[in-house]
Amino acid sequence: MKRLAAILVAVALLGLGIVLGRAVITSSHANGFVAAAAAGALPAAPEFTLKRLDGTGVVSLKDLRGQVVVVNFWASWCNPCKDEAPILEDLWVTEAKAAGVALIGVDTQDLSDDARTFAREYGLTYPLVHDDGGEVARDWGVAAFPETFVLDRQGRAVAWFPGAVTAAGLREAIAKAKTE
Amino acid sequence: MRAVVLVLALVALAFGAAAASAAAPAAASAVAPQFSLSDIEGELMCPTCQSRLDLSHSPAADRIRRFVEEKRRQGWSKEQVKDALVADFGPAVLAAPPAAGFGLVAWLVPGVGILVGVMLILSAGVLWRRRAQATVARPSRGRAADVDARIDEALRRLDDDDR
Repeated sequence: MKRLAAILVAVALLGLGIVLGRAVITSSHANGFVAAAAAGALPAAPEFTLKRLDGTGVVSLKDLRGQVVVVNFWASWCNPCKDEAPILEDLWVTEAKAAGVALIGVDTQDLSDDARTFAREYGLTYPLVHDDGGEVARDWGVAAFPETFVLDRQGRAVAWFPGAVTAAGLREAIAKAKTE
Repeated sequence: MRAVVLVLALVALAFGAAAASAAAPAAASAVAPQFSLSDIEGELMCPTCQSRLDLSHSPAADRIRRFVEEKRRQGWSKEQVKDALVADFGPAVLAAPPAAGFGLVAWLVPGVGILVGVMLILSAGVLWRRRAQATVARPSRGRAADVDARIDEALRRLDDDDR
């Protein structure tokens, strides 16, 4: 009787410990990345491999190592994302694509059908991926939409833009990433 | 001839109406909502504000609400709607964690906790009863001897007073 009670207590404590530990680790890791990016500490961006919204395969951040990468987190229901989409598309078409800068739009916390409609509506041609379940947004510590990170060739975050980006701000961050 | 055509037209019309009236209830029942919006709202979370959907009015919550309403009117079941939402938003969109995988821990821990609590209370009760019985059945010898000595002393004093 006593032994069974001890085992049950141990199981309950272990379960509670796993739940709490997991929550603390996930939260501190994500917050740590954003805080370090904001402080200019060049933290390594968490890896991801996500399915393209148009269903033509996946995009893996690892495969873009050696390139400057702009990662934009967005959702179709987010109003600032609507203002930002034409800026990103214009930058992609007129400068980034030819300069070898990768631009990835990560649709997160969103219905994928809505995201596809949004992409069609705004004529977005840069690679768009869907963050199933919002895991990547959580890993990156994304708290509001949109949020944009600029990574250097080693995959380190050089700049972080909470809220909608401006073309000038993004150009400056890309130039900085190229020099790192 | 004209009368024959008229009769045929009337018969065709009657058949058409009958077919339409037969199809209408079938179509209506095919899309009859299986649940109400309020039935499911409390079981879903707003993915951006971490509160229940029925308590949230964020743009994401409003969009999910419209999606639920759309699918509800199309005759989707509650489970189908939830599955579709989990596919895009992940299990965090459910107010209750799934009873599988890691989510199982969240279901098991409270149950095990309650069981442990009940067992501890029962164990404490059994121990307390055993101690109580032991005290009644076997009074301490030292204490009995002490009482005897005090009684003897009191009796001695009484005898002395009488003298």
